[in-house]
Amino acid sequence: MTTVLTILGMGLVTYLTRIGGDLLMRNRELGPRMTAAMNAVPPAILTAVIAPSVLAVGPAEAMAGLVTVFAAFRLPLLATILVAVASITALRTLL
Amino acid sequence: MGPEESGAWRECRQGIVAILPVVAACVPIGVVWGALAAERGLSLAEIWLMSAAVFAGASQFVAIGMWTTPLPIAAIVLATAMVNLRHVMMSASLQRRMERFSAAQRYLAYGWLTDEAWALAEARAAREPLTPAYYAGLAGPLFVVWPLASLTGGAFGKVMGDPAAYGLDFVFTALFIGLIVGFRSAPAWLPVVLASAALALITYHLLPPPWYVIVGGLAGVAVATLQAPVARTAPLEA
Repeated sequence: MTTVLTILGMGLVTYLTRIGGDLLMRNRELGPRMTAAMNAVPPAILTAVIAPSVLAVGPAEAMAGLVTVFAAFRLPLLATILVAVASITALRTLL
Repeated sequence: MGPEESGAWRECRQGIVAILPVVAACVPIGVVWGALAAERGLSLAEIWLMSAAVFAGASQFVAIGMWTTPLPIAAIVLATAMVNLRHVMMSASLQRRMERFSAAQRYLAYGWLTDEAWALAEARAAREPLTPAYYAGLAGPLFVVWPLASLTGGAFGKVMGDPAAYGLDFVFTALFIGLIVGFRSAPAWLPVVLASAALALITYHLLPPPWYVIVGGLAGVAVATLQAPVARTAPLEA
């Protein structure tokens, strides 16, 4: 029973975080600063999520990350992912 | 209704195609999580319930790491809220793209918000209006597959081995790098990315895990507000 309660508690707080931004920001008239802030959320959050897994794990991850960035500038998303998986597998074997 | 329906179905199918690589990569991760949860004594029903009700991988790994007897309920729920705090910023940004959603569709959509579906929805919204059908195509497959993968891991244990051995742990990193680069025409993109990466790394070394996401994310957003006059004159992509 405590297990189910814990799970439901986790689900509830997670749902609150998911609607939180909507509750805070909906129907607000955004000035240029807030608009700039909101436009920056996707690259900022995505970068923060992956930065340690690229730059704080080891040389293989850092080098594969660099390869992936170069690939991302030239290739579509799926090809970028394939290049990334191939390079991380090769670099982990080599290093 | 005919053309309307086929339009919605096309949108939904495009969403499914966009999320497929993510779905494939989340299967082994879900299996590993399910195996860990089973080791900690969760039943199959509880494993499925947590993956469906919480539906947020990182926080589920953190919670299972804290799963001891007696169960520290308050600490686990608090840790879950902290790990998932980034969702607040995500929904604050995404709600601007949801003019085509009814209130009910919006609150249902938020229940399925994940890093991956959100990022792909933002990428779509930068090119054309985001529709409920496209979002359902993105979020629906993950919502079905993630609990099933967890259940499989709970039932069959660690048969799969370590996803890192196949480079699968790097799929999410690669997807995110691809999406970050895809946003590169946004104003102040490079300063935002550099500030987020730098502050995330510093915080990662100083504070326990969830904080680097929050601090790094806020740092990038702060840099963007400093560059706001530039943002006003530059053509917005969205």
